[in-house]
Amino acid sequence: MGRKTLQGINSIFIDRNSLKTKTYQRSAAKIVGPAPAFCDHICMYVVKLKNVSIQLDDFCLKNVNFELDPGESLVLIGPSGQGKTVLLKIIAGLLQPNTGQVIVAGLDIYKATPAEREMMLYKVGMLFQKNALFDSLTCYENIAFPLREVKKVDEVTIRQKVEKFLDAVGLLHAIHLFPHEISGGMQKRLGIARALALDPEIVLYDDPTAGLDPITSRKIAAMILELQKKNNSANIIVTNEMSRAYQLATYIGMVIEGELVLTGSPAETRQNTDPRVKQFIHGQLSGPLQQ
Amino acid sequence: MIEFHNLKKSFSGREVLKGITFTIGEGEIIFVLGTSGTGKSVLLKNLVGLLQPDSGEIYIDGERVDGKSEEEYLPVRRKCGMVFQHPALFDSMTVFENVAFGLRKHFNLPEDEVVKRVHESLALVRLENVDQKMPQELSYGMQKRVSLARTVAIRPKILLFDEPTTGLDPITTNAVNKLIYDLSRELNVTSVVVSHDMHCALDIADRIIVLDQGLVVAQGTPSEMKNSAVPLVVDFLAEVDSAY
Repeated sequence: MGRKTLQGINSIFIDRNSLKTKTYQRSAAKIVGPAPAFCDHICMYVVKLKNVSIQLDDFCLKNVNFELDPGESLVLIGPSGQGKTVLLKIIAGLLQPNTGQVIVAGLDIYKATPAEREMMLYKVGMLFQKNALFDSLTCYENIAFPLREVKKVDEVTIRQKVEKFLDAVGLLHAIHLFPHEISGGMQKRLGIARALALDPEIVLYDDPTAGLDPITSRKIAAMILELQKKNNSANIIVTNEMSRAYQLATYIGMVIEGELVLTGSPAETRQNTDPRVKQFIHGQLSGPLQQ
Repeated sequence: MIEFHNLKKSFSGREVLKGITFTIGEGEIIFVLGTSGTGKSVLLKNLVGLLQPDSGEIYIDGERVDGKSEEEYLPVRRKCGMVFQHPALFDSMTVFENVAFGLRKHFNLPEDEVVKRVHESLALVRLENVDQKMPQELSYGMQKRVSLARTVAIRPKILLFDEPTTGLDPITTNAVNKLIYDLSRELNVTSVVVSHDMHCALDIADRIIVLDQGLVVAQGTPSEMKNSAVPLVVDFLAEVDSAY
């Protein structure tokens, strides 16, 4: 997270400069194939948005700026319909902003060629809000699908990977079941396993615990953190549950009234004095935000 | 007002309700809390006759209602207004038509009475000047209000809420919760709220029933719940604390 965008964490930024340099080298080394859209001065971060703006029919996002390192999580909060998912889609390469630069895994994705962008997309995993599982495929086949499509590896390797990921999310016993035969929490875990199957450097989670009870929700968040630690991935997570936001975040950002307000670490967010942020995180009915 | 006696229900050999017993007094706001798959929605469906229990008894206003035929159940169901998790509005109808739908379909009321009731119901949920709008022109929170207005328009004695705040942001959650409280008190109805949200329950419930694996593991007032040592209740309370 950059010093320009989040003044409250300058000290963290400075203390970790050496770590950032190492991170950059590791990150760049992992990028394969020719990449003319690389920019040395910006691929320091695994995700960087610079002055990103987009105008859609009914709302806009203006001048979004943030930077994220491997191993860090940015949690996006904010009222419905303000652009959290739009922001995820911009980062996932699905929605081109009108202006600004979107660097993902070292690549300026909207300036890159289609082939370069495709290579970048293999480094990004996405969990959709409603999981978007293939309902005619078993748990095994759901995870095997991206591996077959992208990796072109043999079936023995696919089986090993599928079993590894199902085991990681505690679903090995459900390997031959279809999505409708497992609970909502299990479907979420399956969606997460599929999102991680290609070993992404960046994982985008669109409301990973929506609709789950708090106990299951907390367990899924713990699993996301554990997998992130194991893979040193950068996570961007949309949620409306403040307990999940505090559990998952390195940094929190609130998407509100067309802007991204970076509120800092969970502790800093709790102390944030922006009346909109205070109203939202405490669920206050009166304040500047209209219901 | 509502009594469950040793209610049991199984699906394909899996026992979901294992003997549920509790009562709800007239005018109470009751939260039924529990993790997913613990039988909360099955309990609601048994109450409104969409499912029949394998054994046990259900009473509403002293009348035994389980085991009734579909036709016999209709008057019972008319006492109950169900509010679904999602607004479930007809998107091809205006707000007015959505709220009037149940009144026109099930009650033989003159049109001027329908108009009066629709406006009264919209006023109850604090919505003004939206009756000619289409649902998609409203925010999600406003759609939830229209859904509530549609339910209260038929003047039920019992309001049933199926996870009314699940997936909502903190402000909308508190707004919907306040609305449940205000409506229950203003209309003097009995409200049964199936929920995951201990914060909401502590805020407005008269009593809280906690289900775990098909059984009632705790029940009491919010202040009694705050002192509970039941592990599941402790877990739920920890979640409330972690949000602040």
